[in-house]
Amino acid sequence: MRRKPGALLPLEVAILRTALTLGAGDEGEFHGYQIASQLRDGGESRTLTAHGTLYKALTRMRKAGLLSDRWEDPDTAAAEERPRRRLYSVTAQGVAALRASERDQATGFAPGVQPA
Amino acid sequence: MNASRSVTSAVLAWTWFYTRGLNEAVRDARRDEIASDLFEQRAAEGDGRAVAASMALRWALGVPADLAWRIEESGAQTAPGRMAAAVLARGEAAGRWASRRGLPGLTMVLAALYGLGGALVIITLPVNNNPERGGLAVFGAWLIVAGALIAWGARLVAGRPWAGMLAVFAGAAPLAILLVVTVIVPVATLVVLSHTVARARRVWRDRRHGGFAAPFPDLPSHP
Repeated sequence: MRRKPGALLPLEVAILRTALTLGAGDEGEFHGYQIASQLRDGGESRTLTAHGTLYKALTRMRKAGLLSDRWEDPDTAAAEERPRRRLYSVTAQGVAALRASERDQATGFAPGVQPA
Repeated sequence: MNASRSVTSAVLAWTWFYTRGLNEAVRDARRDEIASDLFEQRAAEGDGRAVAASMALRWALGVPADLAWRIEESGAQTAPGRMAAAVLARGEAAGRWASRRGLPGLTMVLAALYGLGGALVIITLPVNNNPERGGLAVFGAWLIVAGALIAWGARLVAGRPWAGMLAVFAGAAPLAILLVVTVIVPVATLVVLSHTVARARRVWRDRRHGGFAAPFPDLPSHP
């Protein structure tokens, strides 16, 4: 099995869907642990997504333009005495990719992969 | 130090290790992001042992993805690099699969690892110069049988819990006991020894310090 260029992996679909439907946080932004816990609570996975798997997927999605990111203001983090968060939000391209994936799913076409 | 703090330190050390030598911005971003994640999990879920176990599981299942990410970020275009990336991608997929299915998924991954390990031992026998190849063949066969027992037990446990548990235990226990004896006991011994030596050195240092402070016998040497 080889991944179709531009197609979404199941984890990427789950991240986009969870971020959009559950409302990930202020201004639609979410950080890594937040989306991992929402994936678990929303039934997308039984445990918290592994660090490596989650952040590799977020990196891939960011590079593909499905997510945008920013580091929060260090003063905010310092005031709350915690490490600063990297905040992600779903881009218009991410919304379109999710809709396309859901359309494919509805028509019975298996998204994300194609035979090698 | 509690368990989740220890796991936090271990995960941060691992992150430090696999990000070494990368572009500074990429390296620091990954390290900061993992540090933030670990902090947020402990802040949200507490410092109990269950949280430590969850953090350790997240770390372990993500190791193939960490290494694959490292290869991608370092831009390794060599044949071994591409091969390693392909193997790690399979490991990453197994990690995702296990993560989605929780403990039953992890049990099946463990069973697959046993089977794979056994198959590797047997396949490499012809090129293995070890004089005890007969013993290795038995070990390989035993690993495959153990993997099959674990997988069978994991499926059985829904309908016949006792039989399922017994099968998983029969498959997993011998290697677990072997690991306890050959890995955990020596490591624990080393930890205990180093702790004892450090404590003894502290006592010797305090005694020397006490001797120096003797001109002021009424004052405690350590407030």
